[in-house]
Amino acid sequence: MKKIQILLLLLSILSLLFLFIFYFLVKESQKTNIEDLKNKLPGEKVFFSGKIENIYEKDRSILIKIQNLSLPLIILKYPYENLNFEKNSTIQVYGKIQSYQNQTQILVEKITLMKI
Amino acid sequence: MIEYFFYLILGIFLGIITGLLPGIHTNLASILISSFFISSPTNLAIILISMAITNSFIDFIPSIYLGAPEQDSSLSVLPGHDLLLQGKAHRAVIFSSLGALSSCILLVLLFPIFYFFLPFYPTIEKIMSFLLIIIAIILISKEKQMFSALLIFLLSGFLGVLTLQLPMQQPLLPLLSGLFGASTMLFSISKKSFIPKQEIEKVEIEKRKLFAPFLLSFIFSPLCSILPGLSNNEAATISSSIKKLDREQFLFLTGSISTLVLSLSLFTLFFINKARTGTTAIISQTLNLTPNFLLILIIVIFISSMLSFFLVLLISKIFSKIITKINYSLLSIFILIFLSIIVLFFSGIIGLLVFSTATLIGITCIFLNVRRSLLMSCLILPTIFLYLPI
Repeated sequence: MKKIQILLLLLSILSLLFLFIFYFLVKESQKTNIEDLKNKLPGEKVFFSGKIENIYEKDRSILIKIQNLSLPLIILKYPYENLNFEKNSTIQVYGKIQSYQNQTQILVEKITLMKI
Repeated sequence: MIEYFFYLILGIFLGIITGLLPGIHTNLASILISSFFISSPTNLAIILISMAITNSFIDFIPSIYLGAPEQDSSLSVLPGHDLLLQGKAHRAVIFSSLGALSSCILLVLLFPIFYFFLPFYPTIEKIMSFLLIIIAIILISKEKQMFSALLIFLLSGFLGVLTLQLPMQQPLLPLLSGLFGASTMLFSISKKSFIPKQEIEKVEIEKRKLFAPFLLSFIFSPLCSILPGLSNNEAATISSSIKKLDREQFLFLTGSISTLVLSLSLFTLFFINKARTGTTAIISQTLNLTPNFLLILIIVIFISSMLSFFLVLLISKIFSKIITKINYSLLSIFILIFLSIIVLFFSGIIGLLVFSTATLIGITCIFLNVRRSLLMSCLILPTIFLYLPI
C-alpha cells in the first residue's frame, strides 16, 4: 500500500510538472504575433499578449485598445469585471476574430492579467 | 401568461436533459439555447431560469448514481457515492433535493437582508484571500496525516491555477470531472465495487438535523453570489470546515447552496447590475430586469423548484431500480469514455491532459486517505491569488 501511495504521488507530481512545461510550450507556440493579427479571418482563434493602451467601459462590455494593434478587444463584463484593467497593464488574451457591424474585432474568450 | 407557462415547462424539460447528461453544464446549454432562440427575450429568460433550476436538482442523479458530476455538484459525489454503495442512493437524492427545495424559503428570507448587506461586500472582498488562507489551514490541520493533506492541497491547487491559465474553453469541465468523477469511478473499478439493492423506502427526516446546513447555506450562499471567483463548492467546503456535518447534512447543504446561488444571482443582477452566473449574464445581455419581471422570474423559480423536486425523486426511483441490473464497472468505463469525449470536444487535447492529471491527483488523494474536499483547493488557491492584495 505504501509503495502504491508513493508511486501515485510521484506520478501526480510528474504529471503536473509535464502540464507545467506543456503550458509554457503551448503558450509560446500558439501565440500570434500582434502584427499578424490583422491578417486573421473572422472565426479564427487567436492567442496573444499585449500592453493596454486605452480602456473604454460600456454598459455590458469593455473595449480595450492594445498598443500596436489596430483591432479592438471586446470583453463581455461577465465574468471579468473583477480584473483590474489599467493602462499599461500587460494582458494575455485568448479569443476569436469576429466581424460586428462591418468592423473586425477580437471577442475575448479568456483573459489573464499578466502585469500591472 | 399561458405563453410563460409553456416556456417554463420547456425549460424544465431541457433542464432534465442537461441535468442527466454528464458534462453538459447549464452555462453551456444557456449559450446554445440563446443562440438558436428566436422568441422574445422575456420568454428566453423564463426558459433559461427554469432550465437552470431544474438542472440544479437533476444534476444530483448522475453525480450520485454514476459518479459523474457537473461543476456545481462535484462535492456531492463523495457522500453520494458512499450512500450508493450502502444501497441508500435514493436517500442521498432526497437530502440533496430537499436542500435545493429549501432554497425557495431561503430566497424569501434573504430578499430584504441581501439588499441591506450589499454595501458591506467590498470589505469582505478585501479580506477574502486571508479568510480563505485561514480556512485552508483549518482544513489541512483537521487531517490525521497533515503532510499528505498539505501535498494534496498543493497539487490540486497548482493544477487549478495552471488550468485556469491554459488556452482552452470550459476549463472547469476537465478539472472537476477528473478530480471528483473519473477518480471515483476508476477507484470503484479497481475495487470491483458492485452496487447493492437500493432501498426506496420512506425517509424519516429529523427537522432539527437540517437546521445547521440550512443556516450555513443562509450565510454562505449570498457570499457566493456576490463575490466573483467564489464557487458553490468552495462555499460548501468553507461551511463544512466551520461546522462538522454528517453525509446527509452535507448533501442538503450542497443542494441548497447550488440552487440558492443560482436564484440569488437574479438579485445581484437586479440590485447591482452584475451577472454572477452564465444564465444571468445571457439574460442581462438581452433585457433590462424590471421589478415586475423579477417577480415573474421568482415565481418561475418557485414553480420549477417544486416540480423539479418531485421529478428528481421519480427519476431517482427509476435509477434505483435500473442501477443494480447494470454491470457497474462496465457502466463506469462507458461513462469514463463519454466524459473523455466530452472533454475532448469542449476543451480539446489540453483539456484531456488536464483531465488525466486531475484524475491522477484524485486517485492519489483516495489512496492517501485524505479527505477529498481538500481537492477543492483547485479553486480555493486560484481564488486566494485573485483576491490577494499584491
